[in-house]
Amino acid sequence: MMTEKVLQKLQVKSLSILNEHGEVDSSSTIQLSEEILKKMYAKMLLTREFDQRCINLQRQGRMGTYAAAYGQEAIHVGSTTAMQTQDWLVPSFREQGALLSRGVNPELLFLFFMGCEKGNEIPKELHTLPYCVPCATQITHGVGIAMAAQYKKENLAVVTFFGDGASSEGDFHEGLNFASVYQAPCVFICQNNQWAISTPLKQQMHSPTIAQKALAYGIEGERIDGNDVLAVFIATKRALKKAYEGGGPTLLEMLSYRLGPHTTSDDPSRYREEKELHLWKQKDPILRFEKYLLNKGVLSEEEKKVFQEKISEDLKKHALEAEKICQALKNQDICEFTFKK
Amino acid sequence: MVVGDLSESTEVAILGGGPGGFVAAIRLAQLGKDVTVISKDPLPGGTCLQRGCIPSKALIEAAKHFASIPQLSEMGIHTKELKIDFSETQKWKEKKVKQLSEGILQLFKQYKINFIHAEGKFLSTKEIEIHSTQGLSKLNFEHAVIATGSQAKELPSFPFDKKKILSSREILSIEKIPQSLTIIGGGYIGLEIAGVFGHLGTEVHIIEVLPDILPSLDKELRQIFLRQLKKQNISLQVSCKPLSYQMKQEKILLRLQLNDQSEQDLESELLLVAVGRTPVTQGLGLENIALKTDARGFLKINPHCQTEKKNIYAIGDVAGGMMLAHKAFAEAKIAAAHICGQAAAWDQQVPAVIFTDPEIAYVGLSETEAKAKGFEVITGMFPFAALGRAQTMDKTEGVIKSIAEKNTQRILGIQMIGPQVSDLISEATLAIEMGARLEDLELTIHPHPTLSEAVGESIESALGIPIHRYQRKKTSLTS
Amino acid sequence: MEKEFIFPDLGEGITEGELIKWLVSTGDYVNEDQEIAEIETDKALVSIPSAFSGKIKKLCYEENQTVKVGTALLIYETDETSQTEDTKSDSLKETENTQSNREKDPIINKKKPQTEQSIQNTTHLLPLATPATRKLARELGVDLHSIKGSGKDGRIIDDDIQKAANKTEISSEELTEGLGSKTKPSPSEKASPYEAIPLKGIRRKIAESMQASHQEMVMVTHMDEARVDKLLEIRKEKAELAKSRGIKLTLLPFILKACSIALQDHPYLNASLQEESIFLKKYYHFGFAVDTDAGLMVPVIRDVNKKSIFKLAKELTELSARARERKIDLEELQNHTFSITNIGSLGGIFFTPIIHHPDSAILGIGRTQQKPIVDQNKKIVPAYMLPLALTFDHRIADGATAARFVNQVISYLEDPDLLLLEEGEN
Repeated sequence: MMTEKVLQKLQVKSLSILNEHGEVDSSSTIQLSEEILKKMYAKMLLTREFDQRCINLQRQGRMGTYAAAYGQEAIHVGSTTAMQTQDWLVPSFREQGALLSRGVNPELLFLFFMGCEKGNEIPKELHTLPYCVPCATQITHGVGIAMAAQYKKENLAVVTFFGDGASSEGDFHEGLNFASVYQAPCVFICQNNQWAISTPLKQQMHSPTIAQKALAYGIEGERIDGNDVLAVFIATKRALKKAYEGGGPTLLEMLSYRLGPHTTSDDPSRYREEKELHLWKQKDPILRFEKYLLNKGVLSEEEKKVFQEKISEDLKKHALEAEKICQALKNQDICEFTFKK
Repeated sequence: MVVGDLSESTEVAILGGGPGGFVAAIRLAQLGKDVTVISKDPLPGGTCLQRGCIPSKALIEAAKHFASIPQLSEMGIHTKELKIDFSETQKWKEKKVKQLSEGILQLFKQYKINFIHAEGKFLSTKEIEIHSTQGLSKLNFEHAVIATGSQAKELPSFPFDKKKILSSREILSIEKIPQSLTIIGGGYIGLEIAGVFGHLGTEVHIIEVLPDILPSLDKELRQIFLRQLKKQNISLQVSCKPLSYQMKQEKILLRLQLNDQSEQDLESELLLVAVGRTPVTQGLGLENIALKTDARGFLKINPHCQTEKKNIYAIGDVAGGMMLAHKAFAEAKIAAAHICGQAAAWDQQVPAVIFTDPEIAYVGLSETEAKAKGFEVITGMFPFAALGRAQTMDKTEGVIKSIAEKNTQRILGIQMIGPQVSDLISEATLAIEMGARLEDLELTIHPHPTLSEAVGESIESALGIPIHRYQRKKTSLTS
Repeated sequence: MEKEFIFPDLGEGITEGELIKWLVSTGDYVNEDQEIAEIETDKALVSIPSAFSGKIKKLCYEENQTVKVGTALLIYETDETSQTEDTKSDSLKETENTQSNREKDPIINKKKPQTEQSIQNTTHLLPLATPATRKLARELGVDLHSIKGSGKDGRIIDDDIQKAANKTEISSEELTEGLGSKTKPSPSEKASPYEAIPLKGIRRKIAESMQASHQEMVMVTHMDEARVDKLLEIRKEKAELAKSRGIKLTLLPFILKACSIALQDHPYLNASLQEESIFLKKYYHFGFAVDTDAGLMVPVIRDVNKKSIFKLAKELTELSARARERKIDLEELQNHTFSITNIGSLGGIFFTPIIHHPDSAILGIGRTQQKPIVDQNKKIVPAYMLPLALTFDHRIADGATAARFVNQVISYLEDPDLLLLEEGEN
């Protein structure tokens, strides 16, 4: 006789707080000071403006290929705001918002994209790794750092970023498996922007969520509204707390949408529908947060203008500065910054 | 179009129905565009027609006539009782303003231009939200022209109360002639209004912070003007800073700081603050189209009057530069032509006209400016007193001065003060636009007896050969 | 200061791109980051933002041209050198003239060294030219500062502008022509004796294609007439029916059909000669000439042999309408095997059409008109005659082939019932 039993019933949770009209779910008890809210807003603006500047520079022949984070700013800023200084940030290649939010000088980022190795020289105290372009390899780096911290009994956690495409890679499996076996203090942030270059999510995986992939490793997985900076913040905060307390890793699927091209070499109008794009533009993370702050009276129209102007001007200056450095270092830097003397 | 519909569309949306807006609208309609004008005022015309150029010119004319009556006795004309009913003057002025604005509205109808009395706000570079008494609606456009003009600048320490502290807008509508009036600001608005009330018998004081007024005018002309001010009961204090005020019964007591740092009080019935004008961009939704203004609030434009957003143009006061209606007219035509794909760009000279008594007008460079730019110049000057027509009109105050480059004799500028020079300046403007040489004007026949002869004579003076005036060979008047 | 905008590698390892659209024109003042052009590379269609502010002096490429990475896309006159200090007081500035706000415009404030001392100073002012002349310069894209006027003190007149404009347009031709004892208009002539229209767009395509045909082919035209009384009757009979289906029935679809059948028997007239081989085509795609505002366009009807007369009539109308509206895709102009050109609506009887490269023949149709002819009974009777002129490439086909082909076409047109009997693929 055949015996069948249900061994485990698994579930996947989701979280959202701020809707696209800028209204906060009444059941939420989020308490952030006005100063922090404003900072988060400014960082999101900075990310968007940085992207725009880079795209222009690339189109003008002043910069190499660039992957903009247009539409994903809330993930970068929400998660890094939840981090503490001792935590490590292990980015992929689209996380300029996260790096800027951690305090990396825009000039360094400009240098990196202008092809100057000096751009990777991120100050040690920022506990931020340089960009990692190969798909998904940084997941294992992140787990390694987390395991090392565990071994050295350091009270910190690692936040590593990757995309929906990366969750189909072997490194994703290896990373999550090791992290779960060793209960490493690691927060896996999957930026599900629904497009792996030109491959839509549905053609890439059969599972309805990425969050549920966590269940296979016996760790918690949660889907977050990645265009809701408050939800991103809360979810990351909770996962970090769990990690500090020895609760092990968490997989956070941040559901968002890549509003721009994969990189400057890509033309999404060739493979995706204008309608879909339009729909997601309504859900723009910056717009909804801005509405929230304006309604709340934390931000005024004038302040907003001042922010925008200042950011735009600063970035222009940084870019010019980076161009100068690039010129000065021309071709010397490959050996300079790649090999240890 | 019907306000209240969900979304309408137009080829060109124009924000503002003033000199910039209505001229752009008409020209665009002539070029075959479907145009919608969104105006905060119920009638077109803007500041110029509703509360600026036109009403002030009406009052200036009335005041000038009034003041000239006693002088007519020399011609044998005597009047028994001289009296002015200022409220009637105001009514007459209102009638003229109304007539002209309705005229524009009529033109709109003939050209099939949609006119909406509402406030417009950009939602994007393709859409304007229209807020009228009939509710909210949206208007899609291909091109937009911002022509929202300017408003009187307010001094923080002298806020407008519309009773005692007025802007040019209110003072043009007062019903009673004040006994005394203090004007802060010696720009053209302050000077013109000083002229009106000076003629009507008001004791007028002008306070100017800078050490001089009319900086673009050469000093000979400025001196003539200052002499005339004195004759008209108008006192002028330069290098004088208004500090504060207090109300004293029905009067306003002004505290002034003079050049030597000493302080002084000045009492008058009314205070006019005319220290310039600020562009109107509030509420236009510029943030929604990522359009920024410069430090002084003006919109930046290129020579085609385009803003940084290619399909959005800005013209008139809101785009900065000389805040004059005819500058707005010219820009309106450039913007309209450029929208229609024509090769239009700004490359003109703007003549300046000031309707004081006597009038002032100038175009091109002054002698001072020309020398500062490194030109070797020759100049000529001719006084109206030497002109038959001016004598018979009994308007002999004033001169015309011509400035030309010595080697090429190309006319660089012409400055005028005197009777009806606001009309005479057009010949000078044409001369400069055509790149005329002195001889071109000298060989042009000026009819006799007219005031225009003074233009010809001033040119001849620069050539050293004026007819109605003795001039020693090879010495021009000013060099 | 003059500055070039170098077309960058927009993707990873891109070497060229197609200029789709200019968003600016010569003489425009553009700001940094303002979009200037749309360019399509192998990877993407992108808008190019300007790298600096300035007035556009020259656009180095035309729309639809291929732009090589590393070459100048456009040339600017930037305002980098003409920055003026700002010393005037605020109130002064306010009453000051517009020029101060537009100092960026190099028309007004430009310091360019001039050879003659006497006019050096005038560069502070507008160039010495009347407003109408300045407008002409804007229209023809001539920078007034780049030319020296022929008048006194360097005064620029309309003629100077015309010459400058012509020069920039014909300079490349002058280079290639080289030898020619070209009669240039003497400088003393007041008005320009000719107007130079740059060869571009469709005109250029026509010129290239015609020249290719004329240079390569040995063209002979064979002429004959068809009596079309019967055909006209059928057309009249069926006009109502056609109309009810939204079709305007003319003789052209019948002629198309007749040719498609006759060509099947004369494959050398539905062929092309390329690289020492004659390609006989097994498909029948006919180009037909449409007169548009932009010039001659030749849309192509595919598989004429497989389509009904009605269907052909309908496609003729649709394609020619879209050609006139310039809404036709490039694909719809390509891949023809034979062409028909109908001059009849404008008049004319016989003419010598030029073969649409690389076909081997083209049929020209003149105006159908009533003529007296001698019939079988040796009587003079009025008849509607349709003139036919077939130009063929004598390298590929011979006179006899052409005559036989035309005879066959005539037989179909004179006895349209045959069309019915013969229809169908071989």
